[in-house]
Amino acid sequence: MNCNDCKNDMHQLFDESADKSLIASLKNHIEACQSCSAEFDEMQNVLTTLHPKIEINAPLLLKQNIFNDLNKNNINVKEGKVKHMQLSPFIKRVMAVAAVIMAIIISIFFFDKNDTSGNTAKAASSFFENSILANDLVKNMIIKFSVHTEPKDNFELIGTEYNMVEHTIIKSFDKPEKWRVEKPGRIVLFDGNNQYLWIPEIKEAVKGPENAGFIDWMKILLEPSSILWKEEAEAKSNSSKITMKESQGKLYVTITSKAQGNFLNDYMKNKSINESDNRREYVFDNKTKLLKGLKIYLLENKKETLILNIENIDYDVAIDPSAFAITLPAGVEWKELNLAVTNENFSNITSKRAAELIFAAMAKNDFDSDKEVWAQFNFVTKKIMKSKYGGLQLIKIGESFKSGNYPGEFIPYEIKLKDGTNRKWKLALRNDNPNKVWMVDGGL
Amino acid sequence: MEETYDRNIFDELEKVITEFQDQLFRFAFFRTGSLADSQDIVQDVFVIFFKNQKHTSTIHNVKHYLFRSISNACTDYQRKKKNHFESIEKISDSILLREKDASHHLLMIEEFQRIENILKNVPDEQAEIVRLRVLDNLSFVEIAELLAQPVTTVKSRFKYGIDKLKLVLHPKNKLYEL
Repeated sequence: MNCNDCKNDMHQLFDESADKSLIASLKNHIEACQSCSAEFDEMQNVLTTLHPKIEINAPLLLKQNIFNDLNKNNINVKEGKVKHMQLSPFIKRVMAVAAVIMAIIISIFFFDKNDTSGNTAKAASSFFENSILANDLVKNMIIKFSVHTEPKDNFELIGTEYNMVEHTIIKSFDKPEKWRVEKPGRIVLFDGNNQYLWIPEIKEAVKGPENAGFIDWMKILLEPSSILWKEEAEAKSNSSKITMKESQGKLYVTITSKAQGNFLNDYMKNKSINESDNRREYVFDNKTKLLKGLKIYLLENKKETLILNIENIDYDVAIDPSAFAITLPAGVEWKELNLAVTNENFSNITSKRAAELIFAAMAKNDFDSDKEVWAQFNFVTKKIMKSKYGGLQLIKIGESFKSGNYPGEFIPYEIKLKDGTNRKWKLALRNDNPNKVWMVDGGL
Repeated sequence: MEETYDRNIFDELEKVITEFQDQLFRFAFFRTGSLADSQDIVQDVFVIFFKNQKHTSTIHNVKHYLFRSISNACTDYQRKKKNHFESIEKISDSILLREKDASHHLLMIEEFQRIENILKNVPDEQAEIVRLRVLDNLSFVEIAELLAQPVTTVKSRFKYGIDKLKLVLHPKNKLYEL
């Protein structure tokens, strides 16, 4: 082979199907010829220059979008009554991962640019939709976490003065979705139709509608793949700061936000996550990109306290179906939560006046004449109320005030109980019901 | 109208997507310069491929079918679009570039611009064969099938294209040749 032949056929070296004897001749010549060797190097340099310097691969959402597209076209899998596609665990994982990643990217973009107009908002909306869709792709999960709170009190309550109380969330994403949130003194369960609140110690068994606020802020943890979407929506109106970093196989998303609500009176400050200055540190597994942990720090006077800590989240593990049922003890029945009560004595008056009437009734040991006021209390709790507060003496009552996000009002009071002890506290009354009837909500 | 498909077809589709999505996306991206449009094009190709599966149960060469489809879709795209490629300034108005945190997307677009700036120095038919061989990693035989051209023509165009690019990338050679 001479130099001209070599230069003419040199490109054959980049063809796997080229004649093997030709390739051998070309290689032999190039090894022996400095000029052709230089020519070959130049050719290789051109190809190297043309090669992308970074990986260019399909977006993670592509596969999900294809299946979504097929779904939109009413294309279904022939398999019993299943109307939606059954995807393999691999695809499910890929979709969930993609949704979370895109939610993060878009969230950060939103916060950085504070731009919700035009294409950006449209695209973000699309990504968030995908994020929500990803909820369907994890079959179930179990979250174990601890909160500084009171075991028997509502799930919203937090406070540095309380001990850490263990909580568990069990969620099944199969339709209809079911979940259970539990701490030692309180269980809330959703069976796909209704929420059920069970407080064993006082045998309180309340059946509420699908959207009953029995778990308040913790709802966000029920849908881990849309957490960032919800956080984004929350933060947009509250000037929260969001940062993201990767370290040692983990992806950390941190949101720092201010307490929400009216704090002219700071009585409710730091009594719930939303009503506190806090920093929320979400942890995603860098391999699976699924939510693996959350730490919430209460920020108070330059001091920070770990107030909520998710230790572990397990996805797609076996769940006993009995987790989504509560068996009540004999003699206890579910009481429908009915807030559509009517009582003219307790509507169209101030909360302070309502408090005065309530204390006057308790002084007379009368918990039945205006029973609607006690609609949120069951037989057992009313019995406890009667034994403790019946026959009380009202010493002082203060001006009502609002605080934080609480929909009702607080009325400071001082009473003397029949056992001779004095009690100074704040009665919580709310009238955010259809007929605006003031009801006792707490503070006793 | 609602259509019902056998589960096996979905499983097959999943395998095909997994195997070819990156190659097809790269193909579309280096023809459109747009991440969003490339995604749409690839998505459409797979959806059509899936629908055709029911009626044309035997596609002998899936890779060839998909590359032919994506190539046709990109040609249609370019035909519809007055400006063949978006300028970097124009792209910068799009959502993807405005996501400054998604720096990988920006790098992808910069890579597209860099490579296109090199390839614009050679005739389109040669540039396309260089793209197919270098960027899409198709063999000369596959390129010949895709373009319905003899393998010898494909190889020649590749050679001429590379020879011209050597002159462009190494101006000393140009002086020497002149």
